[in-house]
Amino acid sequence: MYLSQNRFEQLKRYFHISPPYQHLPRAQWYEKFQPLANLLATKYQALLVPASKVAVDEMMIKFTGRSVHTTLIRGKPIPQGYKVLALCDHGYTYSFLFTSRAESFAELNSSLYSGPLKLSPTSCAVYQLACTLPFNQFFFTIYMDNYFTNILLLKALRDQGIGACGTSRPSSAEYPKEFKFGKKKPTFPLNTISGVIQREVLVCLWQDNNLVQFMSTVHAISERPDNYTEKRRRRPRITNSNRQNILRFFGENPIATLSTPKIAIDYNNHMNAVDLAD
Amino acid sequence: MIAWVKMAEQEELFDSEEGEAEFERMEEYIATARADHEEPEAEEADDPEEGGSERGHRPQHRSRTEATLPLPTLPPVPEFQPLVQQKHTRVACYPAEFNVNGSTLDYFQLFFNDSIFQLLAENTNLYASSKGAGNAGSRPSKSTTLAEVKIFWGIIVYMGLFTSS
Repeated sequence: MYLSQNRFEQLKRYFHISPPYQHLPRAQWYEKFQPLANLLATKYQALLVPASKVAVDEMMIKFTGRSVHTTLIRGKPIPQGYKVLALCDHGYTYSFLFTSRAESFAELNSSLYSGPLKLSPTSCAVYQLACTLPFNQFFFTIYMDNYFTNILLLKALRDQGIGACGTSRPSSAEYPKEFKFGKKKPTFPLNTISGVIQREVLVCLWQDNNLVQFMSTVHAISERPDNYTEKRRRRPRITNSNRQNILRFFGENPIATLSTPKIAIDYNNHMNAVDLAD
Repeated sequence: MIAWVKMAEQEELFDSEEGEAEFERMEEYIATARADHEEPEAEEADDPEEGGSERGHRPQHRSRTEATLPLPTLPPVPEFQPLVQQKHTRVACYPAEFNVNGSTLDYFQLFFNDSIFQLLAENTNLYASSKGAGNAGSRPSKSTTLAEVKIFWGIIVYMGLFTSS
């Protein structure tokens, strides 16, 4: 079978995914792609029950043509294109949601979350993705990066029986005052750990080579063996700000065994699920 | 040859001077920062790795910030009741007739099956006829079929996977 060049160009010219000339009110900006997207999403969700640990992150679809809906972030692997929110299990895209610079979340189903919390649009979107999981039959933990994590979202998910964990930003909603340090982050002694519970969400702070802020509803950081793992760590590069810290733990050795919170290990293991699919 | 040896000697001299100076500065830094570590040799060994030029100023700067910024006190680790969850592994729900040892194409067709391509073919035909493709005066055109759309899609995917250059 073959396709001549003329024929290829004819097909390319007339290629359509949705029926043309629908004079219906425009539902979404991507409605011309929607029939395919919906069919695929149904397939994705029908063919797999994800493992208990999934991740939410953003994907970029490269597009440099004219559109108000593309986002441009310089320095990324794909700097310009459509941004898609995706829920993935180790490289398998389970569900996705289109986002737009102009209309933020067009497909957002606002009736889905009916709790008392005031979720931001982005949080609602993550919540909506989470609801596509069969969370009534299985337990899930969603890992997300600091763009999504906030206390209200984690609480809303917890109320549905869905666990969540992620790095967080001090500027996120209802972030505890104890952990807001202003512009210049202090450097605590290495492996310092502290936590605050807010709305049944554990907000924790851990001094690694950098100060790391986590939130979780599935981890605890109290001194129990199942909350920490002895992990071999390479000695980080010594700079003036971390010199004392590192020498205290590593001395001359290039590798030392540190007790590392489970929360950090889990996060690192599961967060790259979306990038695998991307 | 002699010149080269001299150069090497000079370099060595330069290196060692630099190293000693570095070491003195380190001693000073250690004294000011009251660091309680045991092995200053370890630090000396690390020094060549770092950019040497402005390092002399930094220890002072560091000790100053340390003096003005006391570490905030952190709340103690709380006893948190995490969500109790049971782990499960991922389960693939293949259709009954699906051959698990099949080819990549078989797996692709799980997602892109004929009904999807049929939809694409139909809508492409609708659009083409609405645009008057194949009318008198323009290039002859016939309506497309499922098989043809598959080839078209294959070319698109191939071009995406194997870019030139």
